[in-house]
Formats: sequence, C-alpha cells, structure tokens
Amino acid sequence: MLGFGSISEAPISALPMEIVLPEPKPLVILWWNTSLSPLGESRASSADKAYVSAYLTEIRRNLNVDIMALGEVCTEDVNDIIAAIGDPHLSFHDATHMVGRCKFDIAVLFDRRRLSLDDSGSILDSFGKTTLKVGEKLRFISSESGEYLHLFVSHWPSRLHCHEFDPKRKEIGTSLRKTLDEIRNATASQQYIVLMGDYNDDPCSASLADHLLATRDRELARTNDSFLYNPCWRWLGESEPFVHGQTIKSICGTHYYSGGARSRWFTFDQIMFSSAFLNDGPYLLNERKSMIIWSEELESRLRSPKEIFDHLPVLGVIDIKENV
Amino acid sequence: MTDFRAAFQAGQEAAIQAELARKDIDNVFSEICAQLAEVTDGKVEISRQEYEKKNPNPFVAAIIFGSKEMYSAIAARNPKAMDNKFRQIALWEQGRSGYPCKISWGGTDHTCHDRQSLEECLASLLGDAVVGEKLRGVMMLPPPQEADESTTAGPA
Repeated sequence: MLGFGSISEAPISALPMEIVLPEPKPLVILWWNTSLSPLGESRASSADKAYVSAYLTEIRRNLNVDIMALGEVCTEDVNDIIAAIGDPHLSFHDATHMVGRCKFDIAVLFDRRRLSLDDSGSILDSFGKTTLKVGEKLRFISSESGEYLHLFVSHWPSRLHCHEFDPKRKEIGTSLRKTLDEIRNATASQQYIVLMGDYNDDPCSASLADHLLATRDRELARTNDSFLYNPCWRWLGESEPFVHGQTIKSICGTHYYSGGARSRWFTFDQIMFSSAFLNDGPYLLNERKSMIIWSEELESRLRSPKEIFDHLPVLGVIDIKENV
Repeated sequence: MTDFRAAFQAGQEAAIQAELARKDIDNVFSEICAQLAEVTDGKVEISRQEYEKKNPNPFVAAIIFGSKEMYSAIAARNPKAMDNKFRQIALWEQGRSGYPCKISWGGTDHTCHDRQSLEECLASLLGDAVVGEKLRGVMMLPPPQEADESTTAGPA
C-alpha cells in the first residue's frame, strides 16, 4: 500500500533471437497537496520549496510519473518546481487563478510526450455569497492510443471553513457527479475518467460515497458505470497489521492533523476511477501499484509542529493494453 | 399503507416552491435588463434563448429526422440596431424546480443554488473581459438608418 520504488517492469524475452516489443509503459498519476501556498497565498520558505521540488524530482525519476497534480501551490511555486525538475518534456496547466472571488490553488504537470491537453475548465458551486471550488477539469488525449482521458482535480474546502456535516459538502459531491454524468451521457462508449485531490473528506463520507457515488465495491463499479471505483477505501486503516513485540512502520491515512480527536490520520487524498478502467479497454487500473507514497523523512515532517507539511502524496497507476 | 395524502401535499408544496423559484429567476433577468437599458440607453438587452444543437458531422446532421435537440443560452442583443439578432454570451441550464441553475462561459461551469448566488454569478459574467467585449460589439451595432446609409453610400 505504501512504498517507494520503481514500478516499471522489464520485458522478458523467451528466446534470444525473438524480437520482443517493449511493453507499453503504464500511465502513472500522482496527487500531492504540497502545503506550500494554501488558497494560493505563498507562505513557504525557500527551503520548503526546495524540499518539495527535490521530492517531486525523485518521485518522477523513480516512479516514472506522467501526471503530477499539485495542491496548495501558487504560480511562483509551479515555476520554481518546474525549473528545479528541469525536465524539458514537462508541460503544465496552471489553475491557480481567480474565478470571480474564488481562488484555485491547483496545478497539473504532465509529460507532453504521452499526453496532450485538449481542454480545461473550472467547476464552481455557489450558495448565497459563498462560492465553493468543486474541481478543475482537464481533458487529455493519449499520444499512444488517441483515447481521451478526463481528469478532475479537486481541493475541497477545509473542514475548518465547511464542517464535516455541512450540507454544502454533499452539494459539491452532487455537482461533481452531474459533471461526470454529462460526459457519460455525451457518448455511448465508456469514458476514462480519473478524479483525484484533497477532498477534506474520507472515502466513507456521504459527499463521496453517497453523492459522488464513489464506491468500495469493485464489482458494482465494474458492472454499473454510474459508479466510480474508489480504491482509497483500502487506505482507511493501518497499512501494516499489529504484531506484538515488533515495531512496524505503519500509517492510517494521507493527512496528519495532530489535533484530531478520534484519529490523527485522515484519508483525504484520494484517486478514483470510472468503471471503464475495470473493464477490457485500453486502460486498466493497476490497483496493486496504486499507493500512498511514504517516506520516513516526509512522515517526520508531517508530525513536526514546526513544519508546514501535512499531506502524503498518492499514486494511481493505469496499465495500457495493446491491440484493443 | 403508503401515505399518498402526505406525498400529494409534499408535491403541491414543492410545486409552489418551484414556481416561486422560476419567478425569482425571471425577476433577476428582468432586473438585469432594466439596469443595462439604463446605462446603455436601451442598446443592450439580455435574455435566455433556446438554440438547436448542431451535429458536428454535417452528413449525420443531414439524415437525422425527428425532434431537434435544443440547448439554452444567455444571449444579448441591441434592439435599436438594424442587426438585432441575439448573440450567445454563456450557456444556461435550469433545474426542473428553478434552482440550481448553471452558467458556463470561458471554461467555467458555475452552479448557483439561490437568488443571491445567481446575481453574483451574473455580475461576474457581465464583468468578464471577453463578455464585456462582446457586449461592447452589440452596443456599437449601427441603428437601421445609419446602417442603410452606410450600405447605400458607395465610392463616387
């Protein structure tokens, strides 16, 4: 569930003279709430930014990440991160703009050799004078298969501003669901839709489970494309079982809040997949390799009250099937 | 036994609320029109209009019969101009019960759940630079007489 290592597998050739075509590389997607600039307001030191840039560089190199969606960043952070990574193949979509009086703090970096950005936009929900950010929608075209890949990146309101049981949270879930339904109804074929972000809600929260219809039931999601499959239900509990007498590194979430009353860990950072990823199309969810990215150093930063960091990155892996 | 009386009462109550919401939305658009007429000397009128969805494939579009698929848009026109056609400035969707309603423009889908949020959203729409340019273009359209003169007056 948590780990840090290479996920690409070398092709195996049966005979020395046999020509073996390389396996298509999986599409690797990452979400990280970097904590650098909440609501797009810069607060990070140059050391914080250097740490985030170095960590992302390492993740991109070791895990071959194709899409890196970042939360709590401003334009300056995005430019610094891109400069530090120094990869000429990276393009980015800066969604740290104002929409009316609402500020987004999301950016998406992607490998332009594999994906081209076809369309993008923002989704907002308003109640009286309050405007809530539902998400940023991006439509990519895969340069390998020509398939559309719809990506919805969200950073839902903090529970400090919109509490756990506020009905607005359910409305945001419903609003995102309606947008997905529009895509689903526009064509007869199944659509590849990935949702990810910091929802400030756990997978079991009503906003996600009941209103967005992100289920833990894989078979239900596979056979009924009204549902999304949310593999992050697996990340609710401790990552490793308790063994008496052994000190085992284990976490039970992606977000650490030392003041949590019933748990200090929350699974607010999630990646969810449309039904199509569970069927026989060109894109297949690789759930075994989708994980929380953990490192001892980042965890110690999360636990330190002196640090700004409070989220771990999460990874989604999509295998690409040839000749579909 | 199912309480049909309670269900009927709930339906009647919902119908009244929906009617009020739809009137509320109509009033917001009337208010916009009144205010814009005041500042533009009646040269900008905003309204919700219905349009036919066009099939991107002209060959398919040519062989499809039956009911036309429609969509709604917020549109502007200059009633004092010779060319007084409505021009779309945003897409519009309204719930069966009035609210919520959705306005889409410039890549943003904005859902409004009440009158106040609808007014704020429409104010953002009118304050948008691209929409502002469109409205400016509508306002500058020549009136019938001027347009006639400009079309009849050619080089000597």
